[in-house]
Amino acid sequence: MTECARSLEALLDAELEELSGVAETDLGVHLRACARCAATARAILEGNNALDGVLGSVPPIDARALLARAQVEVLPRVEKRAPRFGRRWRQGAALAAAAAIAVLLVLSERDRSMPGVEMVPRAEVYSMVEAPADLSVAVIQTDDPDITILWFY
Amino acid sequence: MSDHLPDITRDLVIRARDGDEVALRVLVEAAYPWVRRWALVHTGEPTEADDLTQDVLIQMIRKLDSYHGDARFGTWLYSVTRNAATDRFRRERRRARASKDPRAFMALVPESPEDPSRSVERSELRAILQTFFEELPERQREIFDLVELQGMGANDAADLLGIEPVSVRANLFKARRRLRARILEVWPEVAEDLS
Repeated sequence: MTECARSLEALLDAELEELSGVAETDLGVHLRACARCAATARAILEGNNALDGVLGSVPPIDARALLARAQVEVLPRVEKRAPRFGRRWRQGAALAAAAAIAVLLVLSERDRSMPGVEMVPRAEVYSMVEAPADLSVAVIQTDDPDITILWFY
Repeated sequence: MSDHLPDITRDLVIRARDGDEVALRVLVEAAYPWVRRWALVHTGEPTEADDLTQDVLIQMIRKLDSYHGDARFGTWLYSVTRNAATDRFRRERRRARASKDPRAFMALVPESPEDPSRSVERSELRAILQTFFEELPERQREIFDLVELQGMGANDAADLLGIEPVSVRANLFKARRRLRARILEVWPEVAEDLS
């Protein structure tokens, strides 16, 4: 294998400093002595520079327009931080509806105990249920004694 | 240890997160060039990169609440970009790109970087190089860009990508070898030596 062939193989893996021919390595010494291999190394470096130019070329951005577009998406986050009147009104309506349903269900309560099955009294079910922070809960007994709906809202 | 993105301080991010409109705009403008470059590395196509960049910046604004300052912002933003690119590829097939004749490469290598008479040819050279670059696997592309082109250390690149430094070096080795071989194989004089 000639020195140029060895150099060519080394060029494929060389660090950038070596390609510039300043390194005191076998490759660096050869590049300083061989114009053709030095041109090859230069082509690789030029390729890197060109590629860097391609990837680093950034068209201008209109940050205000982007923020305006993002604002639509950000609104729910802002709303969550600072509840507004409309949201409170909707929460109140939902709470009232849930309360009404709960009252109706309590009034229509009847004994659905089954032989051999120990039923948990509804009052105890209410006390067992705790809503997460910022949520309310309604406990709704269905016609099916095995199914109780827990409505978090 | 400094962040990977020197223009973006933790204080800037926290102020933007907490609702400072000016800080948010500054943050978007500072993050944009980084995200655009990463997006181009991942998509390989400028228009797609622009779309992806917009998506990522909007996600960045939306997700600022989830940034608690305990991780480097650059690492966090890179992961947002990478995930967005992955999601995008799941939805869309990569468009076929116009093939470029790599044999023209040698003729386009400038005699010296200062030679202004070859600016048009240089743009063609860039297009060909980009084609070669896009042939690399995604992981090799991102590592080649971070380490070889932007000069980031292997350890920092590993930190940014969430992988081991040894993996960065292995991928860099493969990317270098493959890209350089691709360049040299279209260089007629060198090709003679290779055969």
